[in-house]
Amino acid sequence: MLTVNNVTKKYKNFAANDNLSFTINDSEIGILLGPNGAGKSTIIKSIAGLLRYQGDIEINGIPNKALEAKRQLGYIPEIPALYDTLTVEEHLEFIRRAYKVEDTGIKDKLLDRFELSDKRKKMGKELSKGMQQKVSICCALMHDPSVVIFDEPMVGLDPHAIKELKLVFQELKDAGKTVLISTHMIDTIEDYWDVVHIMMHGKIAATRHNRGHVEGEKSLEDLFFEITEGHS
Amino acid sequence: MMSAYLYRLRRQAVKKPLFLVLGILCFLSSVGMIAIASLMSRDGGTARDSSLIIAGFNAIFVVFFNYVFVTALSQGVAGFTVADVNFHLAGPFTSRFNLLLAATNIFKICLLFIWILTCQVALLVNTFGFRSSDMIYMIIGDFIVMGIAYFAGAFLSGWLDEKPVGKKAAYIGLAACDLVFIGGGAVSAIIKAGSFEAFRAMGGKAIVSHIFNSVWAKAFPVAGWMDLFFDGLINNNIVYLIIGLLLVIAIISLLVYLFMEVDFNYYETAITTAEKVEDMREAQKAGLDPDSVRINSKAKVGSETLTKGWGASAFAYCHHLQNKRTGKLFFINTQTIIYRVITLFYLMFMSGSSFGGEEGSGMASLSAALTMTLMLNAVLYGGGKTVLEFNKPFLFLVPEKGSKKLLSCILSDVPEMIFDSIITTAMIFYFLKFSIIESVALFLFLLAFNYLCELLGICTVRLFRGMGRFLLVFMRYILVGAAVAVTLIPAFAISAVINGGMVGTLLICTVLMIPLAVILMFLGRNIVENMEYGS
Repeated sequence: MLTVNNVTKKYKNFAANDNLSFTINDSEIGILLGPNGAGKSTIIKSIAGLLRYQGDIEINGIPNKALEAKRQLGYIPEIPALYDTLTVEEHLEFIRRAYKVEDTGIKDKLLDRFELSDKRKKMGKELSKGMQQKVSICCALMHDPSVVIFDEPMVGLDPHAIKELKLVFQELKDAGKTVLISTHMIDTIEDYWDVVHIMMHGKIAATRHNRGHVEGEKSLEDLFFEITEGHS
Repeated sequence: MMSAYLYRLRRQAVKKPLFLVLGILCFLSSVGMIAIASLMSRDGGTARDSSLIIAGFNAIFVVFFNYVFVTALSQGVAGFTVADVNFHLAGPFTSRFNLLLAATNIFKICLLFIWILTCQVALLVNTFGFRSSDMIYMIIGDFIVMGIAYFAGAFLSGWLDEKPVGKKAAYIGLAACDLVFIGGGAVSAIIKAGSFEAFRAMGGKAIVSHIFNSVWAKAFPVAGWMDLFFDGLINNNIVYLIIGLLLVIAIISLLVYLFMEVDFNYYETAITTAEKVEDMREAQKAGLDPDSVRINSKAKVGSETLTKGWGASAFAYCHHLQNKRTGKLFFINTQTIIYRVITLFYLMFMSGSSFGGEEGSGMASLSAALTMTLMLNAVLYGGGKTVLEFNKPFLFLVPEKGSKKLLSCILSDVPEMIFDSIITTAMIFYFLKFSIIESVALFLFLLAFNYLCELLGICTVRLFRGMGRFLLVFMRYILVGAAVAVTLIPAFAISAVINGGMVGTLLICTVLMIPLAVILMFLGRNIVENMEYGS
């Protein structure tokens, strides 16, 4: 479970996140939806423990900066940051060793799944942006985290990888994991989401739970444009 | 098309008034330095030795020619930013004009070099006997040599864009010229002196004068010809003056002809490499020397792989693997070699008199060589691969204590530090006739200092990254200077009291660096645990 409680992140006088609070439960896929500059990446980085902020963030009830919380978290950054001179396989091996994960063959499974097996000897600097993103996703899933946060994960991926990633979201959910995805592309989240928080100017402007098709209820797209265009 | 480019330059200048002010101050200070040269010499500087001055010109011209030619050859078509690609290469500009764009970055660096050179007025006056007129000749010559070197390198870069063998031949050609001129000059000087021992006994100044005034030096493309011209001008040798002038005019005419007549297309290479330039800029923003990024571009996957490390120690083995991959010998940093060659030349030159057996100059030479070494190491060990970790989330995400992760990262650079300390100690042992005990003390001192530089580099990058590269590097120098002062001054005092001599001073200084390193490690741990990723 992921709990964000009254989180505020300021850059000088600008509040990138303004008193944000939300919870994503186990077996739930949460979406942070919002236009560029809404503060999605900032809260994702705060959850990952990469930024300083005011407020509380807990991973399965543990403060997110504690080592035990870090063990339970998987983070896929918006811009993949790989080692130039490590191969794809070595990236996964490095993460396995750094996170002290026993070698159970998960590395090969992930490489196969994201069609990276034939690229296992390629160095980080030799990969395209999309390939780097795939490696980044594999690294985040390597230690079997119970809470996984994705920052704009679809950017740069080919259609097959997007399809595979959506299956991963579903599998993570089915396995009882907590998933949080930030995105600005409504059409990519389709119907696999459980809860959507629409962000605007660092705040949550609306929250929608997935109850299937409800007569008379605005579509997610209509709601999003009503909020975002109404604020502009 | 020129107006659009000038508009962009003007806008950049307006947005960075501080740089404009700094530029004007640098220009005025250069003018002041030039004027001071004659005043200093009037108040009792070294007697003017025209052959030494001309040798000095040649040395400077050759260094500038090599740097600019190699940079233009390697980056002439690759020195574009992504913005350049989008706006200029795709815009209504000719490929020749666009090639000139890449020149601006190189010339900015050259202007900085010339300013640094003019700031060395005391050295130039006292060692070479420079006067104001010599300073002006040197600056004019530098501009001409750099201009020709850039256009020659950029032309070859564009023309040989898809002919890597031809490009390699150009590099080999330049290396051959360097080798022939240094080797030929040295051999002719040895023959003239009668033996190698006699050559060594000539002293640094005489050796430099012989090598850089030899016929091999005058034959060096562009730099040697320019030097020939100034030789004629200063010594009233009309033959030298005319030959030098004709050769320079001929090469300029040839380049103009080639640029006007030869067609070349380099856009594809420029586009594919623009992203790498972007990576270099990112590295520079992080306070790293862009050379470290270039070294990565040569890495190849071999039989080595990651087989060790558990928890925080995975970082050490990960860095160790990267070191092995970027160089044949993991304990050698390519930059170390370059910097040590500079130290070697500096040591040879500064120990010129002790070379000849004069007493009492050893300590002065050691001080000069150590200062140079320490200054270079402040850059060389400015954070190493650990700094690159700050651009990636793993250091912050991996569930281990910050201090363990930081120590693990730094450990992988220790073999490089040990090797560098051994090389430097060996040079000082040889040139300054150190005893074994003195050498061991110096080795320990250098090792501790390198480790301290690494920690200071990490702390400064994390704390002052937002200040920009220039101020960041400046802050690093200030802190390294402060660290040396904090340890060396008490070490001198304690050593004087206990009559410990040089060995005592170096060892006490080394011991004093330990608590300083512990404090910095503590600070570094907090930096990993509390600072912000990507800030």
